Amino acid sequence: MDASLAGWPCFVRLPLWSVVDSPDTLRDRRSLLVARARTLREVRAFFDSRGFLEVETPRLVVSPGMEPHLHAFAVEGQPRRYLPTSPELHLKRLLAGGYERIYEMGRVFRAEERGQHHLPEFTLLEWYRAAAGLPALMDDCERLLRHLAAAVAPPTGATSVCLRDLRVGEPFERLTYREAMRRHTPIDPADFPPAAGAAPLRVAIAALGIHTADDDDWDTLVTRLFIDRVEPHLGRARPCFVTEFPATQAALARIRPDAGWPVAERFELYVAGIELANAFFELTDVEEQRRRFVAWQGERRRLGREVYPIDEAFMAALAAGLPESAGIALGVDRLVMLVTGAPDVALVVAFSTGAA
Amino acid sequence: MYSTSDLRKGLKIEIDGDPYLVVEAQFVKPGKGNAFTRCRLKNLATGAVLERTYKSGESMGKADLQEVRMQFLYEQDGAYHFMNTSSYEQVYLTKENLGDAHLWLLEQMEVDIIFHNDKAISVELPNFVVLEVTQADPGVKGNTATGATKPATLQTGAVVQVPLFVEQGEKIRVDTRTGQYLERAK
Repeated sequence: MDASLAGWPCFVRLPLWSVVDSPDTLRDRRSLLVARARTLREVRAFFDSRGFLEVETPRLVVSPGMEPHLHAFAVEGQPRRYLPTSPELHLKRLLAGGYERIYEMGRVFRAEERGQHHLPEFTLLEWYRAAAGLPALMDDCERLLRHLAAAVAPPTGATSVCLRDLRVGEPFERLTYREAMRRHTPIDPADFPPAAGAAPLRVAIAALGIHTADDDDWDTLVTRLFIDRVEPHLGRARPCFVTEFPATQAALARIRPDAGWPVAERFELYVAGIELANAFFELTDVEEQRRRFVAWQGERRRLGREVYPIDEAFMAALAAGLPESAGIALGVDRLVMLVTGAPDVALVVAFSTGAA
Repeated sequence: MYSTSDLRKGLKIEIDGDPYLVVEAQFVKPGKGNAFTRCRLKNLATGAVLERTYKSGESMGKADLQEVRMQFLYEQDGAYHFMNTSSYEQVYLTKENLGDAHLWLLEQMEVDIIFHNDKAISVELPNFVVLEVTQADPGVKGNTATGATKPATLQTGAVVQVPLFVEQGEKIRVDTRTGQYLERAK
């Protein structure tokens, strides 16, 4: 038994499915792996029938992704390369090359991530639409989940929430980040803007009985509130889009400079309390992009982490002109969990313990 | 010190001077930003449950805990006295320290006393104990419904549900973790 999983109460109640990758447990997991294969096939059929081109991007990359809290695996060799944490930079290079609807479903790699909803090696689906915005991606999400709920039958013995248990036939719920916070907590984050610093927010959050650390910055504090009090409730009856994240959590999305409360033009899709997908209205301004990359390099240095190089081929593509576009990343293993009602991502892949 | 990567079920940590047991630990990583570990913790001295989420990289103290085999002597005015039978050292625990454990303690029973910073804070009982039924209504003749039970008072004062055939004066085996009847004992 993988020691890091021994504590999960769901396994105590789960004689049927075990996370050990022995021949016996692999045999038991067959119905889940069959449902996984069916899901992958249906995802491809869904995008193929809508005029998306399936593409493949490299697994050996110059820069694995720049965000300060994503950690990559390095590959020793001549020259030294990384395994990608996401294919987004290459997919945007294809957008700049005139490909208007593309998708990729492939393995990505993130060190130091293992939990009920995380594997260090996992399958990520990304799709991009040129000349489109976030509403088109929301529409894709609704249709894709409806299609999968209808096309893939969960195996018997499901113990966790299934997509079929939710009201996927209705329009998905749409909440702004502020609305989600106000619904589930007494705090409106706009009353504690990042410009006011971390101190007032720390006091308000600590008053709710939430643990904080002395070095928590504004984003960490607001995220503590979100993951402890908001996220578990999201998408319980039907899937839920959370929009208008704080501008400080923009990643590669554009920022809309609303007075007092600037927001990132991105959304996350939650299903049964699980974050399933993360979408951006893509930043196309090359100067702004370089500023963010340099700032993240500085943050990584401050955290004592390896500083990854800027992918200059991507910067050149951005300088040549990226069309207005929207892109989204969806965790396929989580998707299979939700389709099958399996309680852990390790159960919907054949081999996981070697990577843990 | 422990770090967030050590957090898993069974780890014993110290918060504000109190020892806690990690009952559940879940890795959480939002779409953007830091990773966190969401924990359910049990205060080993009071039994109180605490939910706490640690940011990746936070550190937490190790709880200095020791287990010592001792014999339960007697209870007086809410204090439960125990003795180390080799050193004759004596300690006592309060009912709050014991939680439900006081329901199963019989004089001369051997238990593990848990010390935190050399202070007795809690007790670890054997998983199964044998106790005598001191009061139980006679089984109603003819009632053969499977699974039918009745309450029985044990010599420690605990009340457990037992099958109808169990009678006053018999000894039964009880699971101290669940408080459930297991079987008749000799």
